[in-house]
Parts: sequence; structure tokens; C-alpha cells
Amino acid sequence: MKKYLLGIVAMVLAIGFSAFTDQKSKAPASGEKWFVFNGVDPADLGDATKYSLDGTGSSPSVCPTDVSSSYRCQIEAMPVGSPALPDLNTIIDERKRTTP
Amino acid sequence: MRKFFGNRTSIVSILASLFIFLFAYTALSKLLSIESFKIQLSKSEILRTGANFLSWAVPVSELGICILLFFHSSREFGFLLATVLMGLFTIYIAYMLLFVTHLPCSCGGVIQQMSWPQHLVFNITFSILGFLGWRMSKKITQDFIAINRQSRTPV
Repeated sequence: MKKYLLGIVAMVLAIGFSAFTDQKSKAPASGEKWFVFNGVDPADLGDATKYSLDGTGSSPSVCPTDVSSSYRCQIEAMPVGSPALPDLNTIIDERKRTTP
Repeated sequence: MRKFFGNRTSIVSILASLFIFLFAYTALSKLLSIESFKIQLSKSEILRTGANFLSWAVPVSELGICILLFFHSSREFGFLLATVLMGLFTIYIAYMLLFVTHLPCSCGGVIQQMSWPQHLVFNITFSILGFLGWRMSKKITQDFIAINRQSRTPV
């Protein structure tokens, strides 16, 4: 049992640290929010007024998981102004959809 | 000689514990946020097609290596696999740094706070440590076999 002591300590520390880190990482650190893309034309992608806040903006509710389809559905970016519009230079994540 | 042999065993145990901590920590961090990990992988051009498979295969492999490193009998093989895995991570990071402009991080836990060059140095260091661990545990196994063989020689 003694010869496994270091390994057991390493395992316990890893479990403890990973649980701790995961809870911390759930809160967005720099205030980005999720926006829905309402545009219909590729030219609208760069127009911030074609986006609207997705509820409170804490998670993507319209397209929660799709990251590989062809068309933009939602973006995660810093909000600016009131009502909040996305700052398109601060996009850190994106969700897609299959239709424009 | 015995002191050196004992020291080597201690060094191997410390290295194994270090890898167990690293792999268990990063694997659990990935598994606890598997959807986010999958999304991060799919952002990478070269991993996009296998993102679903890799999002499970990477943490499961890491946990498997932890188990191999935990037991003395399988430690040598565990170090070998750990070195190979760290080597693959290192090649991936080096490729991304050299050829890709957009760099998404798909690593686990606090390690994702590192910059890509820091991550590269970290991985190279652990690849070297894994290789040293493998060599040392291989030598320990060889010495153990040699001692046992010697003790069986009739006087």
C-alpha cells in the first residue's frame, strides 16, 4: 500500500483540482454574451444591428451545439450599447445552422 | 549501488505521480465539460472531422495511462504511452504555431490559460520527462531481472 501512496495522492489532488477548476470556468471571465444572427444576406454578417441578445446571453439557446454547418446562427461577443449589440471584433465563439 | 538503485526507484515514482496528476487532472477537466471540449476541437481545421471521436478518445487514453502508471508492473509501458501522447500533443501544437493563424485551445483545466508557445515548452518538457521515466523504469526492470537471475545461480 505504501508504494502506491504517491500515486494515490496524485489522483486525489487531480480530482480535487479538476472539480474546482470546472466550477470556476463556468462563469465567463470577460463578460462576452451570446447573440442571435437575424440577417439573411452574407453582407449582414458584419452588421451589428442584425444581431440580437439571446435571452440573458449566458448560453446559446437557439443553436446550442452545431458548430460545423454552413450558416451563422449565433455568436459570443462583448456587448456594447443599449439595447446590447455585439462588438464584432470580439467574437470568441460561434454556432451554426443548416439553413440561411 | 543499492542507494543509487533506490534513488532511481524514487525518481521514477515521483515522475509517475507527476504524470498521473497531469493526465488525471486534464482528462477529468475535459470530461466535466465534454461539450465545450468537442466545440474547441471542432474549431481546429485538422481535427474537425474527428472531433466527436477525439473528444472521448483523448481523455479516456489519458485515464488509461494513469492506470498503467499507477501500478509498478505496468509503469514502463505507461511511460512509453505517456511519452508518445505528449509527443503527439507537441507535434500538434508545433504544427498549429507554424501553419495556422487562428489558434483555438482545446486543452483541459488551467492549462488552457497558457499561451501556445508556453504550451509548447510545457509539452516538450513533459515529453522529455516521460522519456526519462520510461528509460529509468526500463533499467529498473532489467536490474530486477538481473538480480533475480543472479540469486538463482548455485553457489
